Amino acid sequence: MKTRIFQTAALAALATAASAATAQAQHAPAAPAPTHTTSWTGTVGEDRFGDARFKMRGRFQYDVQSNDWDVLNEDGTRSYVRRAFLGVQGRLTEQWRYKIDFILSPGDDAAGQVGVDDAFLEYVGDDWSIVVGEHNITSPLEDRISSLDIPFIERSSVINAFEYGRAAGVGFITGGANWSFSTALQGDSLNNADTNFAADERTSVSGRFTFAPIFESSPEGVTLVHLGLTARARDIGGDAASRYRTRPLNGRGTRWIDAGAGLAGESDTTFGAELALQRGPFGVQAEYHMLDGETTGGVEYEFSGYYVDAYWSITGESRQYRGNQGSFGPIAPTHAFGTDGGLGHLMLSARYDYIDLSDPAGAATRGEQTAYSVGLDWVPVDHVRFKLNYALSEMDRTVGADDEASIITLRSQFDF
Amino acid sequence: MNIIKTAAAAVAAVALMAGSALAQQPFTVIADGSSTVFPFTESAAEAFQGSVGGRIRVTVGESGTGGGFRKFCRGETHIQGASRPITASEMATCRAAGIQYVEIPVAFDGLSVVVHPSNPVRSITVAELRRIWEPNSTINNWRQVNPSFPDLPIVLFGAGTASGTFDYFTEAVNGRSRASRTDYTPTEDDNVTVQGVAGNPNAMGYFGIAYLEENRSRLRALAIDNGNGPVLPTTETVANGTYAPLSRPIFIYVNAAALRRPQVMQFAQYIATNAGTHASRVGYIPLPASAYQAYLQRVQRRQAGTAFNGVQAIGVTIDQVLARPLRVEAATN
Repeated sequence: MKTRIFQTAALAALATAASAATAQAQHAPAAPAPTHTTSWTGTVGEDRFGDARFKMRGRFQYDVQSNDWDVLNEDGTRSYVRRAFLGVQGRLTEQWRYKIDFILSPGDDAAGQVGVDDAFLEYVGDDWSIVVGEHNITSPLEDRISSLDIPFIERSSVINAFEYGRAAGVGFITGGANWSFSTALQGDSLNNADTNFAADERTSVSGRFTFAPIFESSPEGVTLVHLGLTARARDIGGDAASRYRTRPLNGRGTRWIDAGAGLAGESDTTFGAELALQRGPFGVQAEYHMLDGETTGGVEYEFSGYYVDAYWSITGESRQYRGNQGSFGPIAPTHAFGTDGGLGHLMLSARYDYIDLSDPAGAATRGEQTAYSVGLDWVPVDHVRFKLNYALSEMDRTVGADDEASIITLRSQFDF
Repeated sequence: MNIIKTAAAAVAAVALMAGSALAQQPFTVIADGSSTVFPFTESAAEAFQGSVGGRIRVTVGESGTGGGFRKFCRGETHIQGASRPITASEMATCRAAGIQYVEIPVAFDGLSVVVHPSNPVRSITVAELRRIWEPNSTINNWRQVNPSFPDLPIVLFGAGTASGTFDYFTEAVNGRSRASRTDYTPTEDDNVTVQGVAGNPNAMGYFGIAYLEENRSRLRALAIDNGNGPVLPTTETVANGTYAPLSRPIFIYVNAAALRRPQVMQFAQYIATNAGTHASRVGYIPLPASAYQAYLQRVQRRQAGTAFNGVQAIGVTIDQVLARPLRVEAATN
């Protein structure tokens, strides 16, 4: 059925493209060639040719991590590249835009492979746009915030365990100054290997609505109340690559709490709620998510998790909120490090993070994880960030051995 | 554990340092934007700082109207000077960043077309101006414009693309905002045009009337003929609307959230109350007193939005502007 729809859509698209091209050829005016200019965007030059735009983008995140586990023999210090992206972004016309970030992962398990992060074509209307490709426009708040700008080094347990993230498909987003609505129909991520050609890949329908009843900004900072709701219904179809599991707030290593490969999900539904507050240098961000699922064998399971963050910008800057997307952008320091005695931007943060993956009783690795984390961030200049996180995680398995891990991670990152 | 204690101590020390460094600075109102509006804002800022005994500082930049709105809509400035109303795309950028603004037309300007004093040309029609400035214009000699003009090469100085003067001039003269020939010396700093035209007998340039008032001895303004005979830019012709189509309102936009700060509110009220004085002082033409009264109320009530719906209005009167509804989102029709 799905194939039929795609074929019809593809034929229709081809027909439209062909007729449009003919029309274009007949009426193309002999306009003078637009001038080529290069604009400085803050980190790289952006080529401009008429309405067309093109620029490079990239990010590099390098972590040093020290682990101290009670039971598991994974103590030690290690360093690794957490993310290395290189990409391009631009527009062909005012309406047709694109963005591709290639994931280069030196030293990762999938060494030698190149993946994609955002990789989409976008058609932009007045206050809406349609996205085709690998995207996450319906993801909850923390996943919508770039890995460059999330307050902690790793995202919360629940965001990771519920498999929020990018997948390929179509999406629609619209919004105003202080609200956004997005919906998407997606298949699998383009980075996942096809594990079973006999079955359809997983598919999902999802949506997100955000609203900021209070949202004001001035040079003295942002005053914000952000509310958000998300929902997703997935058909997993027993895809073995789909797993509910979480690490103790680190970016590499064992996931002690793991609902297990034995839990072959047939379908699941998630609901989430978001809250973010900002008043000048002080901020709070919290999300709660619950998941109801059913295995291929008809066994039902129910998970939930949440996190609560608090931030204090010592140097006074507010996190920049994007009202029409319901997400946060980067923090640029008011006084860059090294100029006029500036310190850059310094932020203290604290997190409480909880996830319950104990359902259904059975596998030894199922259980709950409670984690506490504190962080210090330093942004000496825009686009450079150092993050120091300490995380203490208590992992209580339902039947198996409990464990506790304390983890210190130092991240150094830059982007352009 | 020791590591954590040391880290905590270091963090506390840094926090104290940062906190005390911030506390010592007096509050600074940050203004930027149009270089046309700059002399006005600067004049108001100086008098205001004097009147509060230096307790509040005001810095005034001149990034051009477009360049200034980029900063204003990122929340980097409190006050934005503009020689044209905020555009639809700037309205959208500001909205997405949670920035609302109170729009205050502070004065009228007569956009002046100037030449070197030795140039025998005294007046020019709008159609002639258009033939000089339209996109892909090939005019490079004064005589090509009009056979009575001298046989001299024409050297053009004009507003840069980040300038509101550029937007207004191109719309009023060429009929389409931002449509212009490109082979001229562009600048967002009107003093560059002043220097250029004063130093070159073949030159032509354009800028706000305040820069003409300052440089009367070095430059000559051309009378503009819009079909009713040549009219020179003067206080009278701008005020009574006969200097057309180059008479225009100029603006101050104030971040509405920042008006909660007493210092910003104080300065904004000072501007609305004393705009007429400072406009006249630097060569612009004041609005009627009743208009300033109405804008003072908008400041005090933090009434946000623009009366222009994101589009330039050529030849609009201040009464018409005052009667229009305020919008924060551009209507499409």
